[in-house]
Amino acid sequence: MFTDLNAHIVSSEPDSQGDFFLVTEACDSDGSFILHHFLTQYLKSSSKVVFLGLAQSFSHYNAVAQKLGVNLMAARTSGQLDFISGLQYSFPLMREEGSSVQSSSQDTILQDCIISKSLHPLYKQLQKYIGKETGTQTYDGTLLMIDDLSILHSLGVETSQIANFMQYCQQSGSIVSLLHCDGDEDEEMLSLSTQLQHACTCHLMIEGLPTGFSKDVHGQLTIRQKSSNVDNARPSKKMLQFKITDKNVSFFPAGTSSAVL
Amino acid sequence: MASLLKQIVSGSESGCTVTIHDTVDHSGRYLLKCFLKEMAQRVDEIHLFAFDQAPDALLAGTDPETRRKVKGHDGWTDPQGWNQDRNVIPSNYNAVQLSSEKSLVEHVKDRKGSGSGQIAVVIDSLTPYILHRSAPFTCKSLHALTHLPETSEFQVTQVVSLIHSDVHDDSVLRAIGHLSSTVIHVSANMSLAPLDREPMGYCDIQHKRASGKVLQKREGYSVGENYQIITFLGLPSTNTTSEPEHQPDPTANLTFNLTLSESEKKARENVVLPFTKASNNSTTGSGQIFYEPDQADDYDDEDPDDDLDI
Repeated sequence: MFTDLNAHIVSSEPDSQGDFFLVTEACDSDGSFILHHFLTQYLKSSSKVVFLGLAQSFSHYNAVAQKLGVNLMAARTSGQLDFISGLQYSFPLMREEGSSVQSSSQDTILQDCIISKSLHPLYKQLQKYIGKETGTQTYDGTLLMIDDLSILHSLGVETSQIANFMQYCQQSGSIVSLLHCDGDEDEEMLSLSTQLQHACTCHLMIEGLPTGFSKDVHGQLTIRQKSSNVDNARPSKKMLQFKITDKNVSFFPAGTSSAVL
Repeated sequence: MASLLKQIVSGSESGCTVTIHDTVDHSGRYLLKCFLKEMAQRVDEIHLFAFDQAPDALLAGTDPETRRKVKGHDGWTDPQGWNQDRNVIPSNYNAVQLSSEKSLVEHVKDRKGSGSGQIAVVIDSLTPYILHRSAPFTCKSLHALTHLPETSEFQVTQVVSLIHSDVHDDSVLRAIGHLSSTVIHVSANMSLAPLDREPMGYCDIQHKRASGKVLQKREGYSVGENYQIITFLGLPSTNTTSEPEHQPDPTANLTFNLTLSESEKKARENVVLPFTKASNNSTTGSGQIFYEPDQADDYDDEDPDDDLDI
């Protein structure tokens, strides 16, 4: 959890139905550190987290979280964290048809999705975790975390299906989701990104520096927050630059890096 | 000068199909809610189709007077029918599924209270509808809403819809634009001033009157308490009142006369132009030339030689 970042994100009104943080990264940048920020933040604030990891394995996330001072293993055994290994789901898709390896019914979820041209099976699977009885433990809300949505598209899911899926997910609580967006190469992906930007409550856009690589400034972050409240109807848009260090990320207004001043 | 935006919202400048085009930078939902509030005073019922947000979230902040007239159609909670096997909490909204064949008109008909003749429809937003049902289908549904048969027991007086213009391509937007009587493009105004001092956004309005006249205007707007609309004329800033600039008159000190006096104008009107029917009435002979302005000709009495390329 990077306390610097929290200062820039206004927490939503308590009566709202949940936040939707959309993190987009351009081709020359990596936004996964924002995911780790939210993951550790929600775990620390005793929310239940359902994590659909399509990009990395659990041990990867665990190793990073450990550096940030959160033990994912312990959270998983206590039931606070549910990790769904999306890598396993995508594996049957890569296998050649008619191969002898038997896969369990769970692993074919994405295959079912592609055959039925709908992400309904995946949604049902997530619902099993989200609606699971938590026993005596009570949590403050549920967070669904997806890393990353663009992988579903790469695996052959249509963007309109991804938009549907996200709409349903929005109803089950807060969401943090990463989307990789490669410039103007893919029209469909751009359209999906715009649609999700309309739907989200907070959009965090990670880009590389337009002026090129720098040793002291690793990229820029644009935060756009929406409010349903009329009183602060003016859109809030903030541009920050950041530097990633071993265990922390420092954010500063553009042009005020300590290396410059 | 009255504000066109205010006239459209309050209904004194009638437009049966209003579309609000917005982008990620500036949401048109505030303006949509202004319409909702104002329309509640004019019609018997408002049918609200919510595709982008739950109807409850959309109605949050509106006054109870408006709410009483709103009949919600929920196209957000379960548009694909994925939740059918789950025990759903019964809601007082009519569920709309994007995959079903039921048209918007039928939804309105089903939920309509008896004795309500004047109905307005608000759609938030058209974007999911277009993406799931194709643009031509959406145009057809919109058209069907505003062109109900005379015999129908209710009439839709106004349809106000939101559309996210950055999601669709130009052809779709133009198709929707042709269909609507009023197109409002909203854009953000970056400012930190209080909302009643400086506009929170700008509206580029294209309004087609029933007579066929097209008005184009750019106005600033803000949304005040209780979704009261505040308009700003004279852009970019209303605070600076500019003095009307003194235009030099080029016809002032000339050696010849460029303007006509009243008597001269009268004399000119009495001149009969050559080759028109009136001037040729008396002459007889063969091979005559008549000039008869037909309807397509833009005949200007002030300047009869307008069509000559000199």
